[in-house]
Order: sequence, then structure tokens, then C-alpha cells
Amino acid sequence: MSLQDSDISRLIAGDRSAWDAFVRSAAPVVLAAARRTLERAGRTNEADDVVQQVFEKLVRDDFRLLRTYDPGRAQLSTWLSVVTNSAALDHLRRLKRAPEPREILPEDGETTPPAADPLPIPRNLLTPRQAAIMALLYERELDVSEVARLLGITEQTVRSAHHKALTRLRVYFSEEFPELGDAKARPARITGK
Amino acid sequence: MSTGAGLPHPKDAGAAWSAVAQALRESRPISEPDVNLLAAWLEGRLEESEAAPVESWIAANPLEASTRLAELRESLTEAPPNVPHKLLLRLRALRPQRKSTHQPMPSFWRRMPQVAAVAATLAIGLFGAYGSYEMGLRGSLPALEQERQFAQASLPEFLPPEDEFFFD
Repeated sequence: MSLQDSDISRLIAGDRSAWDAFVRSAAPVVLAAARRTLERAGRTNEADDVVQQVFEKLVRDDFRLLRTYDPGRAQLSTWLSVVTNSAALDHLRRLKRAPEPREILPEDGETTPPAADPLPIPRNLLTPRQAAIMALLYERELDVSEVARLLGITEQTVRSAHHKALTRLRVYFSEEFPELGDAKARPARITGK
Repeated sequence: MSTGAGLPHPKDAGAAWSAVAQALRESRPISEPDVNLLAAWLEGRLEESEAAPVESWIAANPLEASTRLAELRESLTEAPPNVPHKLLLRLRALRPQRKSTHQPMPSFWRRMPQVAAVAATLAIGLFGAYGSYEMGLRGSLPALEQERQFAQASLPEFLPPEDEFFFD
């Protein structure tokens, strides 16, 4: 029986065979996600513990977490992977051995802008997708194909969104700060409004 | 400095984005998306408007979000590993024992105190009611008897004797 065929209602009702079948089909998915997440901290040997934690979370408080699964939105394997990824990160945080996010340092030649008077910036300057693409391209320094793969969209969509985002930024900075000439000479600090 | 297309040089674009990103992050904290939403996004089931919470989260936390998304995509595409038998046994044992929803009827002897209490209450009530009735009945009998005698009495019984009727 595949994981997607798991009878959640029978399982929640306490049916032993439904539970055993669920464990058999879900455990490999959960173990794969746990190992993948723990790998970044070199702690794959603790994957079994994370898998057990995930199953404990699923059944806790009368299957409260499992009841939140919406089969109309995603496959159970994807949902379980997301739950496991989150649990594995919690596990690493508890151990306080998770690698801290690397601080994004300015490139050579650039100086950290000194604090200045906060200036307004429209929230809808970029769409969430454009903002995500800009962040992945310029902060994460991924290339277009990597961004496309990560976001599950085509490379053409990435290029198009990137182009539109750059245009919006150029227009915004030239209109708001015409005296600055280009984006590089931007104000030191801008806050949202 | 601009590229031929009239767009900022990538370096400048990065600087511009950095300023915008900082402002956006300061203006509103972006929380991690809901599990169902993120799962649906991973499967490509969302329209761009529906995906906004996920993509805002990526824009606000590109390092953490991209790492997590890459891990998720990889784990979903790789062949599932074999699960150690001991772990499977541990997981199977996690099945919560359901409490029965209907209680078995308690035996007669277990319910004996309740039965005795109800019987005693009824007995006291009945005894009290009967006693009150009897007391009321007995209390009223002499008065009835007196009334009956009074009604049956003849006039002479009320008159004084003749020798006392006339004055000397």
C-alpha cells in the first residue's frame, strides 16, 4: 500500500492495522527528510531520533498534527517531509549545534552604509516572487537555473521577473532620489512604510 | 553605472536590492509558511498570488529558506531509504491506545450504595407522609366527637334545673 493510500480516518480511530501500514509507508519518507536536514550539521546518525520525534508529534494530543493534513492541497509524502524538515531543524536548534546563518557581508570596495534618516519605501515595490528571485540571485548568489529549480518555475520566468524587478528598482530610485544618480549611491538606510 | 539595457549594473542592482530588502524586513516580520501551504507550493499547485506567503518568506530569509527548500526537494526525489527494523518496531509501538467510548454497566453490587440511598430516601419520605397523616387524623378526632355530641344534645341539657330557674 502506498503512503497516499493511507486511511487517515481509520488510523485516527485507532485501527492497529491502519497504523502499522502507515508506519511502514511513512517511515522511509520521514527518515529521508530527517537525514537530508541533519546532513548539514553532520548529524545524520541522529536521524532515527528525529523520526521518532516526528511520529510522536503526529500522534500527540489525539493526532492533533496529523488531523491538520489537507489531502486536497498536497501529497502526504510532501506534507510529511515538510513536517520532518521542521522537526529536524528544531532538533538541531535544541542541540545548539546548528550552523548559524552566515552573515551577508558587503562585497569588497563597498562599505556598510552609515545609519541615516529612515526613508519610506512602498511595500508593493516588488512582488513577493520578484523579491524572492532578487534575494536568491543577489544574496544567496544562485544562478538563474538554480533559482528556477528551487522555486519550481522556468528559467524564462526567473529572467522575466528579474528584469521587471530591476526596472522597478531603477524607476523607484531615479524618481525618489534623482540626486543620487544611480542605485549604488542610494540612501544608507531605508525603511518600509 | 548602468548596463546597456538601461538597467543598473548587477553590482548596483544588488546594492539597490539590499537596501530594499533591509527596509522590507524591518517593516514587517515574515513568519514561516504553514505546513500545508509549503507542501502545496513544493508540488507547484499554487498560483502566484497563493504562493505569495512562501515567496515573501524566501525573500525575507533567502539563506535559510533556500537551504530548507533544497533539502526538501532532494529528499522528495531521492529513493526512500530502508528503515531499520528496530526503528519500525519503536514507531509501531507509538500507536495511542484509544479509550473506549462506552462504559460497561456497573454490576448490581457496585451500584448497591446508590440503590440503598434511593430506597432509604423513599422509605423516610413515605413514613413521614403517613405519620403526618395519622397525627393530623388523631388530632382532629376529639374535636369531631365534641361537635357531634353538641349537635345531638337537646335543649334541656342546656337549661338549668327548674329549682334554680326561679328566684325565691
